[in-house]
Amino acid sequence: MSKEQARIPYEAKDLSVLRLAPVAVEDRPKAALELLGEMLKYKRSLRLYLDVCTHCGACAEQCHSYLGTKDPYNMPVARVELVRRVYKKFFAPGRSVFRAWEGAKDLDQETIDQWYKYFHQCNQCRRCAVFCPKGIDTAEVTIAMRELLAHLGLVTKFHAGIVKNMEKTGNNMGTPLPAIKDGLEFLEEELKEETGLDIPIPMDVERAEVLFNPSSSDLFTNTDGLMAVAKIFYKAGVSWTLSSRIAETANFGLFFHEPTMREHSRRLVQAGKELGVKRIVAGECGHGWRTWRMFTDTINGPLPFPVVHLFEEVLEYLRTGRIQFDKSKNPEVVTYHDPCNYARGGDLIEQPRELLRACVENFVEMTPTKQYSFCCGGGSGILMDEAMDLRVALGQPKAECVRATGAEILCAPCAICKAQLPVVMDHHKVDVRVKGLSDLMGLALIL
Amino acid sequence: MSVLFGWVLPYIVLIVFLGGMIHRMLVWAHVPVPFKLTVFPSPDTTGGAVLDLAKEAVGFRSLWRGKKSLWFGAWLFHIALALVLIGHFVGITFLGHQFTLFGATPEQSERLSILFGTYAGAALLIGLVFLTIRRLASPTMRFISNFADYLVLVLLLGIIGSGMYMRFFNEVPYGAVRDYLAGLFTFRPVLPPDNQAFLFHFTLVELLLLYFPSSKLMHACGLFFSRWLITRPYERQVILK
Ligand code: HEM
Ligand code: SF4
Ligand code: SF4
Repeated sequence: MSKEQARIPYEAKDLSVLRLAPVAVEDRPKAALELLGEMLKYKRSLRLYLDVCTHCGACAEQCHSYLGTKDPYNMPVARVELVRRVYKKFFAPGRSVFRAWEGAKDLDQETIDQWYKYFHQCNQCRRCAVFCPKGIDTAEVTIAMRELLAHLGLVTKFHAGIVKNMEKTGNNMGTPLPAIKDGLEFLEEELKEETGLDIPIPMDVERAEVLFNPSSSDLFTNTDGLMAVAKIFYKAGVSWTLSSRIAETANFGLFFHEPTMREHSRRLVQAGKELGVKRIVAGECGHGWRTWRMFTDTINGPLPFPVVHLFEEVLEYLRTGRIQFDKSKNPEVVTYHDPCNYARGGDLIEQPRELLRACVENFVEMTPTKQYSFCCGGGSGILMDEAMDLRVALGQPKAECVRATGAEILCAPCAICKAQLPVVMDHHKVDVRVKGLSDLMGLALIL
Repeated sequence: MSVLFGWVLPYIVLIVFLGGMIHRMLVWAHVPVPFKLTVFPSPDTTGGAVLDLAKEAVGFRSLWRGKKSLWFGAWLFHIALALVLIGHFVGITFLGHQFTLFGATPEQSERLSILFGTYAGAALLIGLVFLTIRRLASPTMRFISNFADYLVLVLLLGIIGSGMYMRFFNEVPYGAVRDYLAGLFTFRPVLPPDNQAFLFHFTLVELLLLYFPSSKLMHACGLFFSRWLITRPYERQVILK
């Protein structure tokens, strides 16, 4: 793939929403060094990863980004080396000759360009961490470096736009509240038509048992998923509500800007507290789930309620017999794509499988699967239309895995995967429909 | 000259080696970890996590998940390295008579000692040659290698090569080596054995130890820190497995 194709278009002009002032081009190297020095003081992961790699290369063939683009800088070790060589020059301990032997190199404008390029070709999928004998999680380095780039004023238009939407409307799509409410009414009518029942999709109900936090795309594009969730809560007899403050579980701050990530988390926790719910249930979104599961307690803890995943919640209903599925409603061959941030990132491996086996007739595993699964290629918000060539290249290894299963339906319960995989499958001519797990559960649910 | 070389230098090496290693571990330990970075599936308990680390250290499980050839070379090299290090310690302390503790006669013990030492040394050399060839032969490996990666391999090849040379062609009396090392440890220095191969071997080891704390060899300690970040247990908010 050519260099031009791989480039992600610079760069959001307006960073006011991130409260960052762009740094003049000629000042970037100096500013970058200061920022890197700061990060090394508070991120043990970064420091260790720059220190302990032996350049063994075990990670190279495990990264779909390298496999899909064949660009040597996309080997996890080479990606990190772009930072390591600067670290060796300016921060590493030891005599300068020793550090020169390890490839120490000055920080120039070209290096910053390479950082921008290659840290936007890493999906933060963490697959390399599973295969690296030192447990080096390149996603951590990517997260740190995107944060550093953001402080230099280098953020993609797409990411900055999402953060702006979130701040204004409480969802990434930027849909204003009246439109959301209209949409929900429409869905309630659809539900009535389909089932003959009055199944509500409530909003801002105080003292409800559950605050459900969907991906905003579920409100408009993946509406089957949201309707399915409404049906399940209805059948289980659980009072639930959406919040008008925040209808978004996808937390793009995780990818490149920690303050945004914290703010998003704070907003959700506050919504839950104000409504006085018993727990928050996160909808289908991979990295959103990782943030809730792993970071919320650290940022905003201790929480007055747990944050659980929709699948854990529904599995509880299923195991206690409050809902039942009729498998015959899903007769197709279904395979399951593990969103990276469910399996490796968020401890959701068996739960979705138990649900799938209960609601579809023909479930086949993919190879590799579970914590070894490849990323869809859209992770970490590499979802921009401008980067279509890159997206299909990053998705290529996944496409081959799906093709080999011969499945008719690809269950991919994550908003990013759902946006990315149809594009990838189409491009690589894999004949498969992409669906969320909620959709399949909704079809099979016995009302 | 020999005072400096035989008596002063070893102490400097030891101080640089231990001090440097401890310093770097302290630096790591003092940098905070803002978030939990567990990669799943992970153990639920601290005991489980420690067991996980131990399995990783003994079996190189992560490498096993990938290309088996790299696993084999790396594992052979490191296991043999561990055996050889233990062998040096025991063999030199007991002058090859360690197996008399298990009921062997002194002659049998010496023969066993030589046998084990030769096999472990050969395994070490095979593993190392494999890793070296692997690094040199593939363009991708050369792309990610820098001078330090080759340097470490060359140093180790020199150390192990000279060790095997002494074993096969130029036997150095254990006694003289032990007296020398014991002298160093008890601060009553004795002259080093006057044997070219031994001096070469010993000097290369000193160079490696001097370089160790500044090099990627620190992975020997750092690996436990970095693996802990992704292995450490993290309790679920709701218990539903
Ligand atoms: C004195 C101690 C050690 C020395 C001298 C040493 C030496 C080396 C060398 C030279 C390499 C790079 C091989 C290459 O160039 O391809 C390496 C890699 C590696 N080491 Fe060590 N090591 C030591 C201790 C350890 C320990 C204690 C562990 C784990 C428990 C370990 C795990 C690894 C792993 C997983 C690799 C990557 C695989 C490879 O590149 O072969 N090492 N070590
Ligand atoms: S996190 Fe994923 S995309 Fe990034 S380097 Fe590792 S394997 Fe590649
Ligand atoms: S597998 Fe780990 S130690 Fe080996 S080259 Fe990759 S990042 Fe470095």
